[in-house]
Amino acid sequence: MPLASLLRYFSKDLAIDLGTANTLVYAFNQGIVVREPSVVVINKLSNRIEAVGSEAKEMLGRTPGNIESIRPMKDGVIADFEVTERMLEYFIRKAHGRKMYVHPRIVIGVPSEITQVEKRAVRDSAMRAGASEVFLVEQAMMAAIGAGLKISEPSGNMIVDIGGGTTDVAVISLAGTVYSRSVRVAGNAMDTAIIQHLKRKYNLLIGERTAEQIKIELGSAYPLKEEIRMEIKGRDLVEGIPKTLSITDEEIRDALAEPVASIVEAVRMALERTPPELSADIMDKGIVLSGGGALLRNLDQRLRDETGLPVVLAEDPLASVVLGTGKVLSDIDLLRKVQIR
Amino acid sequence: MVTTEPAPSPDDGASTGKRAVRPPWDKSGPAEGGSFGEWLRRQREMREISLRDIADRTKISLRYLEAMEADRFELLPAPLFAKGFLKEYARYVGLSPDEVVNHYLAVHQPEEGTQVGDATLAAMERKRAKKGRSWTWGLFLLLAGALLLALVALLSWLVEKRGRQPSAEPPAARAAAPPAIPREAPRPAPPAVLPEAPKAPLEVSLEFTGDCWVRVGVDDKPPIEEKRVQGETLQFAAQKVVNVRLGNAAAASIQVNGFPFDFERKPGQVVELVIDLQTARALREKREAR
Repeated sequence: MPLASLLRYFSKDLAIDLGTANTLVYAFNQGIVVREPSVVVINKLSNRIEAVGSEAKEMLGRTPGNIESIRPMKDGVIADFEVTERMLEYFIRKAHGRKMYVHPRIVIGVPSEITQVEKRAVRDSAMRAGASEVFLVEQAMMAAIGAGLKISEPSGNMIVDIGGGTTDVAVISLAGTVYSRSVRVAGNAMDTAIIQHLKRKYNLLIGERTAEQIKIELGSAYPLKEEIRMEIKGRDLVEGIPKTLSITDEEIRDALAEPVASIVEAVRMALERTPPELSADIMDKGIVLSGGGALLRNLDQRLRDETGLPVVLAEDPLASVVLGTGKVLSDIDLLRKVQIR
Repeated sequence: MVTTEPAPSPDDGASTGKRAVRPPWDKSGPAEGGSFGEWLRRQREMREISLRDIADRTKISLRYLEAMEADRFELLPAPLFAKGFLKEYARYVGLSPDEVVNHYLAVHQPEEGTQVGDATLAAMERKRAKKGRSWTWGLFLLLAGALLLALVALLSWLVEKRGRQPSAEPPAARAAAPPAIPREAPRPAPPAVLPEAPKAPLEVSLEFTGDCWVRVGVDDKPPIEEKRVQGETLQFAAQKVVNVRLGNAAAASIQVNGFPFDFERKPGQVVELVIDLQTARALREKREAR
């Protein structure tokens, strides 16, 4: 360990958003250096990693028997410890551009409601991936910092970070969390809802990647001005042959009704539990949306209607968390304040 | 909706790209002039929409809407909200949200850098970054310096230690070439001794069959320490006693006055042997007895 702590001076400090869907890495003084899906493809026979990140995502659902594509993160936490470790190692090295003597200090964002065991898993896998020191911070807080909210002031801010596995709702004041809630309904749940809907209604089976594509192109939380259509391809469950189907955004809105309602419910719950002084602040400023799920069309409109509060979208919703974590990386005092143990 | 807006988008793209000194909306109403906030207000009034309508629809508080039309963006909670609220405003009034934000950035970008929250945070961050880096570098330099110092100290100590050994015999030689002398010392010994070999009562020769560290002390002279490899030999001539210490007992064989000297030879074992005139005599008697 003494060697590792010495070597950390030769490594860049990193901020990592270890997400269910995407992993982003921010290098100190450099910005975002890695922005890739959290997917690993492993050859089961040789136990060798075939691909990580974007390359691996292309292979998702298209691998032969001896090659397995794995999403090592599930619901915002580590589902496959060993694979996560290897994925992290790959990203850390990629961020440094070299293979030897990489022992950075790492700040990682985690969902607010995870257990001690899950926290430990994140810490350990980062350590084993070569970190010299690991700090854990709350994702919602990082999203708020990344979106540019003034969290250190004595004024309430509400942030809703809709990621791949979890939706984190938090009320923040004075760099502390007043209320935070994490529900395991987010982007992936929407994909699953689309798959289920098409299966039930049209007996059409589609893959995860197609479902995600549909969500991105057609998904909405509130009626759109103009109808959008899309051709989707899948396998007919009755006839067993590939089939093409044309669906509209309304159809997908129906499919997404349940996960969207869960998210709205989580926000309402947070508003209910917020102390009145902070409620007034939030009433004034409104809710800030971040995370990939925030890109769902008209989700802001829906939340505005349901809560009666102004809703603002973060500038780069996908990168909010990692940008916030990156800011914390360069501000040791703030890191001490927001670090979780 | 867009018909009422005279400035076409290509024009806007170019002007925002250049960050023109002359605000882009001025072209749309050159006679009227005015600031960004006023332009917003005119656009709204042109469509006969009241601020309260916008406030009801977008849920943005009236206070902030008024602040925006009065160009007092510093009253908004954070720069993020300025952009977000402007987009909402634009959408409701019927302007293109992106264009409005671009206009806003064209005018308020420089101020935004110093005025709004992001700025203080960014400045703080920059300061911290610099501090953090210099701190890291300082520590690194300190460490490197300490390491270098330690190395120099070690080297000088070694040189002195080596230099002291031969100095016992020729004090003058030390100054000349201290590190070279101990290396040379054992080698000239055998040739020097050879002619007077018959005279020396004790002759010890070591033959190495593998890598072995060895220390040999001849009579009262200071001992020499060396590492020998396979195939090498060492010969010593002494008057009274030879002390031999071997790092790897299995890798060496010893002859005393031409007679093989037996000792326990386990690989990797360190053995210490004292060979004196009595040993030599005992060996000869043993051989003759056979």
